[in-house]
Amino acid sequence: MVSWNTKQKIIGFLYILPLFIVVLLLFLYPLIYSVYISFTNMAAIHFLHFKYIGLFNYEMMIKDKYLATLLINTVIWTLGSLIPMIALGLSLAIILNQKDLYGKSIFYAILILPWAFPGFISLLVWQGMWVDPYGFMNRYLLPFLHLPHVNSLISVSSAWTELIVTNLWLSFPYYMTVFYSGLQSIPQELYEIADVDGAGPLQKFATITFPSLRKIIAFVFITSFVFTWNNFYPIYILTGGGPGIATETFTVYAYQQAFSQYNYAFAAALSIVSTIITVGLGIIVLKFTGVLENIT
Amino acid sequence: MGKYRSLSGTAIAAIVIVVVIVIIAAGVGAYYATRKHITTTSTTPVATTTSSVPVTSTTTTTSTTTTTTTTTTTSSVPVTSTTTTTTTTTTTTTTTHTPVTITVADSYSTSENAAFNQTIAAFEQQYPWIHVNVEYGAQDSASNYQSEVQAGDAPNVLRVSSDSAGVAFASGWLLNLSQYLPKSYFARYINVTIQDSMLNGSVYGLPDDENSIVMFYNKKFVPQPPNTTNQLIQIAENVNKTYHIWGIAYGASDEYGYRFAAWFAGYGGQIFTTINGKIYPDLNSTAMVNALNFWYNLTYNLKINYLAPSPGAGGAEGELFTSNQTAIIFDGPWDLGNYFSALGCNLGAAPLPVVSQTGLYATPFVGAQDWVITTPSASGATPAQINASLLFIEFVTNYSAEMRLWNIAGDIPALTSAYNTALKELSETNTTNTTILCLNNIKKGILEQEIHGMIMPNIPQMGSYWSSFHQYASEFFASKINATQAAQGMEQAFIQALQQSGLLSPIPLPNSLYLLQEFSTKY
Repeated sequence: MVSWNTKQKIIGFLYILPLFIVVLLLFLYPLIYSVYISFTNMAAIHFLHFKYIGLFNYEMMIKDKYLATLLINTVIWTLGSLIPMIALGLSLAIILNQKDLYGKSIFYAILILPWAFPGFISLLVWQGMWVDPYGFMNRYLLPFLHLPHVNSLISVSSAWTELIVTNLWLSFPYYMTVFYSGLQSIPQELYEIADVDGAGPLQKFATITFPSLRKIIAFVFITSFVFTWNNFYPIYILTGGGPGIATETFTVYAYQQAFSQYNYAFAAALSIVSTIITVGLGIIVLKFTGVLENIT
Repeated sequence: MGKYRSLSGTAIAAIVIVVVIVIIAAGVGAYYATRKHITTTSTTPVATTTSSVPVTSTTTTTSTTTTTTTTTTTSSVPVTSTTTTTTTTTTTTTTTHTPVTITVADSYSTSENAAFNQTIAAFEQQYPWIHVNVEYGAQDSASNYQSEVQAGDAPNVLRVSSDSAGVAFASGWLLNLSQYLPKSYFARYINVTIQDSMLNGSVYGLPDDENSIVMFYNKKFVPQPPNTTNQLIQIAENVNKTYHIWGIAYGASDEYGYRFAAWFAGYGGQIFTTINGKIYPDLNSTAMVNALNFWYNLTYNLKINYLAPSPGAGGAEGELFTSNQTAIIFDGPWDLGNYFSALGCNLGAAPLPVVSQTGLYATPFVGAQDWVITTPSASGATPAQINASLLFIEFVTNYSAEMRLWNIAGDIPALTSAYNTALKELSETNTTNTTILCLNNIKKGILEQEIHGMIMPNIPQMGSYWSSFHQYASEFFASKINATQAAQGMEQAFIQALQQSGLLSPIPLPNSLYLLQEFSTKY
């Protein structure tokens, strides 16, 4: 005789079974397969007949003289993109949230335009815009603003500028939209009471807006951190990781190992380490902000 | 009890239905996958001969035909009509072929496809039982079809560059054609192209063209092409001063070593060396330092070379060239159409110059585009498909097919007979059509370059060369390191990459890395 509790557990399991099957096929299988091949010698010449070689790929990774540089570059890329993106997104959301702003819908429509273009196409356009001295940026905009030319082929700082500015343009509409919806959920009465109490704009931001958005910012930060850490296209298309490996991240390096050097097992090992780092950082941030508790 | 809410019967039914559907779908998928696999492996193997005859069945029939012929003669005299009745008994031998479909991945450009489509039509006419399913726009890289290989569903036949095909062959994805075709068959192709389609003595592809980079120049600014690097500098400086445009547009910092290899060889360098039977990179040499410094000098000191961010007709180099903003670029004949349509008879092509310091030609890689066949384990091909594939690659690399490519797209034939005809056509063209004359002159320049080239290494180790070179060359041109550090760095990176992929092991090099001697003696 099955007890009532057991029956309920089985029923509960049945509820999640369809999802579990989908997750198993689409997420866990590739992940487990990646872990598996990272312990093999799967490369071009062993593609169909590879064998288990233990931790060799991980040993090679530790011995890889580029590992530290890749790690630093990935952090620069992730934080260097994320902080300006959040700042710009939040600023634009606050501006759009002004109740007396005229033509709000038009501004919003214009601002989310970068989101409407396919990212790959936008990146190719930006690649052309950065060409020194013929592209739009170096020919018109930067001279107009009295700023120095940006040429990623001859300068590391130029390469980072090119990447971060382009990524900012590609991504800010997402942040703006999320923060804008968050701002609209803050009760207007709080601001009215603050007005009555004589609070200034900065004080209202510090005591009402920011605390109300704290969980949203934390959530956006975590999800975007993981996304940007693994974001491959901007670097691959704009700088190719150069000059040298000055802008090369874990993901770009792993891609090149797999598809330029046909070293699939080593690329898998790089991806696994990258995933572990991302998950570790994610757990720390989740614990620090408690954002998951709020969501659940 | 009140803690949990009981599940309604409808909800349970819905969940069960979803689960059942998922299981059935997975089951059906697995069944078809298995069925396909069984079909592939259970087919009775057919002995393959060098004549590559597909599976056929022969029947003999005897028929009697009565033919009535009426002949009418028209003349000034009254019309006369003669009727003859003949009864013939004919014995006919009919060969019935089992229909077979092969999948072909095609990496041709638009103009090449115009020629290829005619070849396909001719093939299907000659072999009506073989249907060719063409996948246009295939990427020219071994890595692009790796997942298809792993799934056992790769195309039967594909066209790929000889070096990428070398990697695929070493990986066991491609058929060893030496087991199917006699040695004499390969002798009909230009030696360099067949050498470049061979690994450890086994031929894996039949070439349909040979290619390398060449020096394109704009006659408006450069009436006569430079023969030496000293002349190159002089001409570029003159262009710069006179027309205020770039003398040369060569993005040395953004390339992966394909074009730079020509200058490296011109300074006496080679990519690989062998030590005790093992292949070792040989980039850390005076030749590399000199070649890097040569282009650094032209770029930063003399300011006559534009460090373009992207090569080719669609890149910055091509854009500048077609808009008369640079006088000289280095690109392959595959972009000839774009340049000729932009510059017309102002376009010139010539071999890369001799490096004044060494007296050696700057010798670019000469590669071939190969038609290759995927192994049955990688494609799931039946013996009939393998035979059909063999017929197909023989057909698309025959005289007619290669001449079509030459005439329509300007591809340099890899078949010796077609190459000779192409040469003859260029020298004997008796026309007053200026466009044809101009184009012929350009093609002469391109053919001349092929004499001064070197075989592009197709060993798997070559895969680690590109990124190692790129990394340190780009650092050097960004002035982060000097040429000596760059040469050392790229060699160390190369060795590290080979260690990581387990390729620092004895694999024989091709007979000769250079084709200069044997190629120039042949032509």
